[in-house]
Amino acid sequence: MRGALLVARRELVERRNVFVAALAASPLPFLAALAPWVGVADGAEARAVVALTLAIAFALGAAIVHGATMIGRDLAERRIGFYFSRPLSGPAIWGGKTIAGVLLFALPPVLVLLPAVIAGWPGDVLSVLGSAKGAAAVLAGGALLLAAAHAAGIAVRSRSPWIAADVAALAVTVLAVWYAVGTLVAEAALTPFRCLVVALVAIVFLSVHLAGATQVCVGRTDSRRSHRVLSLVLWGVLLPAATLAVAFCRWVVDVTPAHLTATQEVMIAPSGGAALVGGPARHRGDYHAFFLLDTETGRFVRVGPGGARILATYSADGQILVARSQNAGRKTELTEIFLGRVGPERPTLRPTSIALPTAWVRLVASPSGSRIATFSTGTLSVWQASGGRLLGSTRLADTSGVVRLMFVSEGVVRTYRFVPAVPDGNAGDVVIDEFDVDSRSADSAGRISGAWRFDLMFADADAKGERLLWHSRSDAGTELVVLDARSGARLFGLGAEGPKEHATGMFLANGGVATAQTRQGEGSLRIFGAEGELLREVSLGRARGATLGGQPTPGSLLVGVSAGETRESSSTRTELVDLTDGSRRLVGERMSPEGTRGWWGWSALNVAPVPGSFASRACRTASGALVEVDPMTGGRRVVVAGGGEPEASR
Amino acid sequence: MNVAVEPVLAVETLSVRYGRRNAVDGVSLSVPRGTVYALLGRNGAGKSSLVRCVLGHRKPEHGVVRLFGDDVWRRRSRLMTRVGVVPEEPDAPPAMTSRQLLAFSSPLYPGWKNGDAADRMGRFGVPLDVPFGRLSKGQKGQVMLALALGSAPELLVLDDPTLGLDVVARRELYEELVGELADRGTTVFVTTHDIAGIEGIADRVGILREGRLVLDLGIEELKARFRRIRMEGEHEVPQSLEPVSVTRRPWGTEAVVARFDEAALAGLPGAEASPLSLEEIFVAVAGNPEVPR
Repeated sequence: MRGALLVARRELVERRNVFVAALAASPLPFLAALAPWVGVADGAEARAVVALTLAIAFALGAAIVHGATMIGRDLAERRIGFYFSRPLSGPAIWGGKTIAGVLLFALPPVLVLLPAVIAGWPGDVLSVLGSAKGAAAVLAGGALLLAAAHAAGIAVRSRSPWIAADVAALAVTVLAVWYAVGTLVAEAALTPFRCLVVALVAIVFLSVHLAGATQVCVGRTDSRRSHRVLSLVLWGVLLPAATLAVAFCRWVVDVTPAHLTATQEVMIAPSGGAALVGGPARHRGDYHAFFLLDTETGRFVRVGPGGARILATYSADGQILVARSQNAGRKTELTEIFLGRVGPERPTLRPTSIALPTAWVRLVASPSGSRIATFSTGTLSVWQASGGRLLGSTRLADTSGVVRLMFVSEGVVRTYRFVPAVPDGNAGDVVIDEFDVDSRSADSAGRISGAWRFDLMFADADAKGERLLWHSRSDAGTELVVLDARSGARLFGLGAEGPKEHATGMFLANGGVATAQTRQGEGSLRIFGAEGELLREVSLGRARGATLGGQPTPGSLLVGVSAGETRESSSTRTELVDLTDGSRRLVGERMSPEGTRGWWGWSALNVAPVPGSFASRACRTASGALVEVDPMTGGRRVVVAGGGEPEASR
Repeated sequence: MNVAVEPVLAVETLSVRYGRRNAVDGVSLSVPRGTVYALLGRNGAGKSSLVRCVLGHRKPEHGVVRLFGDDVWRRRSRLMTRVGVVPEEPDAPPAMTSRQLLAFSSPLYPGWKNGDAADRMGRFGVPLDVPFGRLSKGQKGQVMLALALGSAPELLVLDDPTLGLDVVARRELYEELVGELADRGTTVFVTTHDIAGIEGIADRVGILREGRLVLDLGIEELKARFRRIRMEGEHEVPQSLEPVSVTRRPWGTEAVVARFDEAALAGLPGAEASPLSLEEIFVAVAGNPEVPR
């Protein structure tokens, strides 16, 4: 240590002019504040800005200049032997030079800043530097710069062929790190990204100092050998670290549905066996992965990147439309549309040429899947699914952002838009329009008066798109009603909801309607005929909430009953209700029917599960697993295990 | 190993390579305590490379250098407390004054005598408060010698210390060395081109040629073995005398032999033997590529 301090003292004495220069520069901020173009009120701010700029310039300059010359110049001028001919160890020489370097880049900025701080410092800029973490970061950054400048200085001065290897290794390392960091950013894996950056900075810091110290200890007075040793140590650490960074990045993003700790997003096709599932991946921090999954076979394709917003819709033929929105740089959002297919082969996701410069897109597929309707920034567009050709578009004022779409037929798209009575109001009307693709004309079809902003999000249409299930609001209260889907005219009511009551409903496969509601802590399921006649009322017992799932068979319905304090899955049991006789059978505890709930609030309106489909039997457990229940036996098949759900259980 | 007979410096099969070129090739030598060893060689013979290895500045490709019985590459910093070094090019930081150099060196050596070193600089007439970089070449060498001797070293390594010095400075340097030797019996390992200057104080001489040590003898033995022989007429020099060079002159034959033997001279008509200076021996050995290694 004594040797290191001696070397440090010698360096400081030799480079004491840096301190003199800093002292000489310290009045400059005061002179800048006196400049004629700086107002009196801005004087303190101008002083602070100039002082901070000078301080940073001194710190960076001292770190780079001292780093590049502290060993390299002595080596090049054949004066490093002075130290090695004395009882000074290599670490003492390196340590002494480094200590001096740290003081050289850390103290001059203090000298520059001090008068300005004493005179008065606006804002809290300096509090960042004054904190322990801030000061440590500045010191570490300077020390990193110092050692990096040293490494560069040695490489350049040695004139050794090793510099070619340095350049190649640097390029490989930068590319690998760029790829790893860029991938994690693109995948919005921010926790792994932070871990990787911290680890890389620490590794770079350690490697440059280790390389410098080893170079001094082993290379000693031989500049070429010094360069070789430095390069071997530096790249011997950094290249494997860069490789590990790439491997870490691949490990983070190469996930399968089995890695999901929970299925946070589940969008199940009303028919067939396709599902989009998303959730956090195990041991990967906040990394969120999306998959298009064949629930029959478990085969999947990843819908990346992780940070994208995923929206999907299904056509009757089982084709899936996936809209992926992500940041495209410079505050630009881009939504790309993909065609997905789940079949006998591995699921596929094929890009279309449709790309919309916005993140807010409503999307539906025509019954045959050959056409796609999108609504964004006030424009309804209909595209050919294969090839992405625009078939027609029309402007429809979007005053609220609450819009839903429905293909009435292959050639007609119906839109439902909430129009507030006053700008940004919550009360208003829902305007119904129909756009004829062939004639490219839009006509007003109807209106639902007295709507609230979010009523449209809870609406549901029957499979043919003829009727609409609607929460009708009036001065008397809220009532679940069935409307004509085209005109918005009321067809019949399904019963009023009282205060603190909640009702939900769905169209049944036979054209009837099922509603579930809770009243005074008791739940009930009511079955209506196609004309609105009440056919049966089934008590669901103590319940704080009830959820309707799918119909595993045309004559049965899965119902989730929440008996606990909350409506979460942990307090929900799933029951199978026989629609013909009203009998109930417990299917599973701590699970709720999933159905096509994942589409809540999205664009498509008529997405009720087809009886017997996977969606009609799908449930989500309290641990986040997606399971398929067998309503006859009560058995279940785990599709996505989530948080530790066993592969199969009964 | 018996410490009493252990050499201060032992070089064992040392090889140094720069790329494909062998700068030092399998050199072995040893310097007993109290000896002044002069390593001679032409430019590029490998002297400085060998000195760098001796000081632990460079790791040899092969072989080992031991100072006081320890591997200098591994124990350099500890061994340097016992070694004083005068490099070929004075390498002290140019911004430091002699006074600062003394202050810097003082805490590093347990046996440092600041007064002695300062006195020595005073004797040399070196100003103490002028930066090293502004001193004359001779003064720089004197400062380096004062610093090297300041720690009362057991071994003094001088790498061509007279390079670029004028006659007066050279004489002062040798006088200082002689004084040091007389006072303390310091072991000296010196490389030099100033063969005439070193002849008076060297105990043992090694000659490097193209990286190989082609001669390593005590100065007395060297002078006894190497002689110049002059003969009238053209005669063959007996191989037993190991002729280093044979030159035909108008008056007869002149030869330098490496293993002089009075008895062998008796058979040669009119032959006369005369001693050689160290410089003449060096020229004969180092300057003659025909001489076998």
